[in-house]
Amino acid sequence: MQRNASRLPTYLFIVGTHTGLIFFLYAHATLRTTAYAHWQPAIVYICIEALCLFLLLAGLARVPGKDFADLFIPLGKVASLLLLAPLVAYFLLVSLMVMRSFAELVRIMFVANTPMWALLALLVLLFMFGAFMGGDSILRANVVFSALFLPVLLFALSSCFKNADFHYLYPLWNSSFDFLRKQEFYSSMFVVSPFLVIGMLPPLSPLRPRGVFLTMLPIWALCLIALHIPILVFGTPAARLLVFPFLATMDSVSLLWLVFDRVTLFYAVSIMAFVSVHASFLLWSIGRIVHKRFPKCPEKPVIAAAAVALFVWGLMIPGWDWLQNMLFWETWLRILAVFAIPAAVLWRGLILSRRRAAS
Amino acid sequence: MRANSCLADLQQAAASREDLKIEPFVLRGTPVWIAGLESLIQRAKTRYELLGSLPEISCSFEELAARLFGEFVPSSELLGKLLQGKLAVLSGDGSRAFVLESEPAELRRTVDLPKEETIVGAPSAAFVEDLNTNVGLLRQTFVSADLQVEYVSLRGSADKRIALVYLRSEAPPQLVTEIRGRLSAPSRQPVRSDQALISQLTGTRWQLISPLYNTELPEQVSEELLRGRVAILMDGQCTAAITPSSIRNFFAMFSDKHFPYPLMLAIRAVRIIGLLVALLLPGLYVALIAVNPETLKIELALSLAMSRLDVPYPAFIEIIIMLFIIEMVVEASLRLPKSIGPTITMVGGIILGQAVVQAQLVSNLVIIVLAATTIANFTLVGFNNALTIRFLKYSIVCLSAMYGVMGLFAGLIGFILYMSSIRWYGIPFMRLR
Amino acid sequence: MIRPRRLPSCIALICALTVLPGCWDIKDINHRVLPIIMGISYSKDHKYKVSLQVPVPTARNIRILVVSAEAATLSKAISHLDMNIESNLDLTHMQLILFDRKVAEEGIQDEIAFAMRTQEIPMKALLAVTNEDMESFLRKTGNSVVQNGSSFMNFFNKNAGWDPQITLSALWQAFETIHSETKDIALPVIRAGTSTMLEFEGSALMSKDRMVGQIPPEQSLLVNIANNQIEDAVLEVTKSSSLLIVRNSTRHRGSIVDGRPVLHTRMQLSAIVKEKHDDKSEDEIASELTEQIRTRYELLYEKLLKAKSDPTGAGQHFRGLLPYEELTAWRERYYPRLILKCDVSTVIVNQGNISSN
Repeated sequence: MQRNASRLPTYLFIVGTHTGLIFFLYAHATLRTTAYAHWQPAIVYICIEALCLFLLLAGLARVPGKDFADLFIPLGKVASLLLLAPLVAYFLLVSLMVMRSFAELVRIMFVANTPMWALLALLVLLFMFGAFMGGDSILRANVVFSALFLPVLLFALSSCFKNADFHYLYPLWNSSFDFLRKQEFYSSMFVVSPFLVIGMLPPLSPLRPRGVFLTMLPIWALCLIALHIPILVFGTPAARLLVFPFLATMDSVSLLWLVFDRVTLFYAVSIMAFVSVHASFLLWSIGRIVHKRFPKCPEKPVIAAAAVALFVWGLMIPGWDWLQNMLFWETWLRILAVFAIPAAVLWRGLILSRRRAAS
Repeated sequence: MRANSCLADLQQAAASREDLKIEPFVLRGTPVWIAGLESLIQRAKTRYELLGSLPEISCSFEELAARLFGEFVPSSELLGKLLQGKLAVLSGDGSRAFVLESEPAELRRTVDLPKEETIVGAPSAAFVEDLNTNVGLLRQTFVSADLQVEYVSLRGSADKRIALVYLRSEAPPQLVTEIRGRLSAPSRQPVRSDQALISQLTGTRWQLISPLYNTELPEQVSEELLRGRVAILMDGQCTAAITPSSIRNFFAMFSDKHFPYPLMLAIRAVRIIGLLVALLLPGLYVALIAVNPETLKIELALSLAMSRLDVPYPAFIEIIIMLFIIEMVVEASLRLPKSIGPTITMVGGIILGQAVVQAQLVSNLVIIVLAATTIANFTLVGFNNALTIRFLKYSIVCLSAMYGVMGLFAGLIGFILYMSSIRWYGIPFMRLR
Repeated sequence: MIRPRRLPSCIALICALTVLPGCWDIKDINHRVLPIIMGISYSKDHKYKVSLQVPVPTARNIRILVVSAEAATLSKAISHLDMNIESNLDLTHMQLILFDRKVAEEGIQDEIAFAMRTQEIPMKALLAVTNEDMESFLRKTGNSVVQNGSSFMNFFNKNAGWDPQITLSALWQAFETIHSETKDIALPVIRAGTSTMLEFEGSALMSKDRMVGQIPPEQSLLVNIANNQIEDAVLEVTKSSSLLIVRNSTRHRGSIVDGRPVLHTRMQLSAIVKEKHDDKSEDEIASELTEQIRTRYELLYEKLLKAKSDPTGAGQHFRGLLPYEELTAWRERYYPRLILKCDVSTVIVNQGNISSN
């Protein structure tokens, strides 16, 4: 009983990091991959994530209490740099994308006149603050966020069904699988990336692969629901036109008995809690990895430097289209991070556990 | 010179301490001097008891000391003992002295009802200023051999006596060692207040949330002791400081457990909502009025616009002014004599409730928001905790004024992150146990 | 243990934030102008004429202001208005977007796209069409708003004064159906009432973004019945009796027969007898109602098919039956050839407090 209770923050953290993306970027990212039958790319994403997650967990389970840095650093200077540098870069890119998209969301949906630097400053400060507090604090804060905001978001989700027209599910089958040939499919693959944070969790709390997979089941169900709600409400062609289809769907629901009128604003800022959990943890992971690889660099200045880099980089992106272009350019990095890192973890796990058995 | 050093020292000390009385006395045939501070000791009663406790045979000075349970002390420590309210008996030549317990002057309050934490339907003895009484109250509430009491000696003459109370079976030994170690470390300032105690325990004075949870209810202390915490009792303080504090202390009290379980949950839910309201409501007002009015229903938006029509300054200034006035009302009424308190309440109420609105200096919704915030603030358990929230709401108001609802939530998220990051002696603050 | 020494820096950060010269979107609510109805019509000189009905709060009550501007684009017209109004124009409380009939007939795709794009106009804003002159309409209705602030909202509010005949369409639904292959909406056609605030003239049939016809209120009631939109009881008068329809459930099923779409519609009505003239049995009354609704529904469908407008969402039921490529051609190739098989059944729940024998 006691052991289960101590794992709850970990599982909620996995839910939280995914929630930040699911309610926010997932629908748009998946909708743009094909014209209809969107459950196909969604299922492929789920399979990819399940496979990579399996590799990662299989590796981590063999060497308990070790994170990415602990696993790769013994490989030697060059090899560890070759594995860790893309990982750090990818973490930085994901936090940049999440942060910048959230700022764009706030500007498009709510406060059109607030300058970008002010929004980015607020977000970066929040992320940096969270990262300074350390991984275990972020885990603990996430429990509170889950208690406060997850029910709100699930309520919002269920209220959307009021406007749903289930006939939009059809046509069900797209035999062309054209999404596999589209670059959008690969650039949208960042939606599966949150599972990588699990690789930084072992020093904070023990992981049980079965528990992690059980946690992923509702998340994957949520992915499918979050993808289909805009489709059911707006129809596929209209939903594909929207930049933030999920939030737009929430906006379409009118609940006369609520105190407030446009509650979407509250939903959007609830998502901010999970976005900051995700981004803060990524920043902290960057600090952790760099510190472990170069023990001379203390964690906090690295985090601060990463945050400043995020801020400057975020300001340099002129608009939404550039953000999408950036997703194209870093596709190779994503494929490396999503596939190669879990595979490398498994390989290291196998070697280390065999070595330990031999000695 | 050397022969009557004790007497001479005392006489010298008495020159600048006129309440120190030294008088010759004959105890069962032995001439002695007895000395004590008349401000701390009932002299007549002491003399009478001194004689009554001795058999009617003549005794030497040593025999007197033995029969009176006296403790011989060197001349250098004599004054210190006297300042603690002891009585000194000096030999006739003034060369030797022993000290013994005496009848204290009536300087102490008797055990009374709690002054700050009124509770419904529960035992209501509260701590008083005297350390021994307080420890006694605890012993009485919690009859168990498990209850450990340690007196910690702090360095420096101005420090007060401190008692560490914990349950051997519940409190983690490393926690007790840690606290004991921190308390006996050399201090920068005399430990006479909670603030000094906090800085002694945590090493910083810049902490918004206190590692101590102060309560004046012995019952509450025994509940916390059962949770494995340590109570710090300081002489002269009528509250016990329980450490490490946790988020629980914001909304849970032991006296809630006198109600059925579902009702207890409801009461605590009210306090949690109170916490959120006290923290967020003024910020929400500013955000909705100034930045995100689209979230208001059209009817409400129009009536708000009507009520704010002639208010000359922005919502942020409006609410900051009114919050300050409320803070001053609260601060003033805390220290006012009971007879004047209602006057201030009435004047404050009329000024805030009626005149300000009629003069259109603020809108009437602000008054409602303020009232709700203030009331919500005092639903929280513990005056310290309420103060923390009272203070933090200003930062949230500022963020809301800039970023609207987004700033409001950013403030809330930052607040939760901050609370999650706090650890006292390695134990996280954010835990429910 | 983490030494909590970082707090001063946190406070410093928060203080630093407060001194940022931040006043971007900060406009107090009393310095904003919140229009509730936007009328879009064409003008002679410029393309668009945008009229806004704005409630202006005064010390005691609300005054209604109607302002108009003409420009080549909608946003230009709105920024003209913003310049002329002393306070800041804030469209976030828009309740109704009213199209002049001509605008609706020309197509409202651009207008809807504009409204969706700004995000200022809520997606829940309702749409309607009017034949009247926009400004006089807004003035007339404004007078009744002054008398009763909520009268306008009640007209469309399902929990208040909404009548089951009125077809409700929100901005998001227009956006949905303009881009949908298989669904349309019907917009209410309204005019300023003489004694009441608004009067309902019927529904405008839309085919994608264009208004292609108009149906009278009795028929728009059927559209609502077919969409299961009736939440209120509705009175229906037949030859010999008055019946209150208290419940209805309509099911549609599509099938393709010989390349022609066939729609099976089953309506189940539950009614209460309110009045009856002749001494007719329950069954006779029920079959009278059944027959009346069925013929009227078939007439409505004839009209809809001719106009190529699908406000009941018939095409939705064929989405699973046709391949995706065929669906895009649904409106042209299949919908006009649709065969309706309508089956109505009526249950008389009771006859009030007077039994029939």
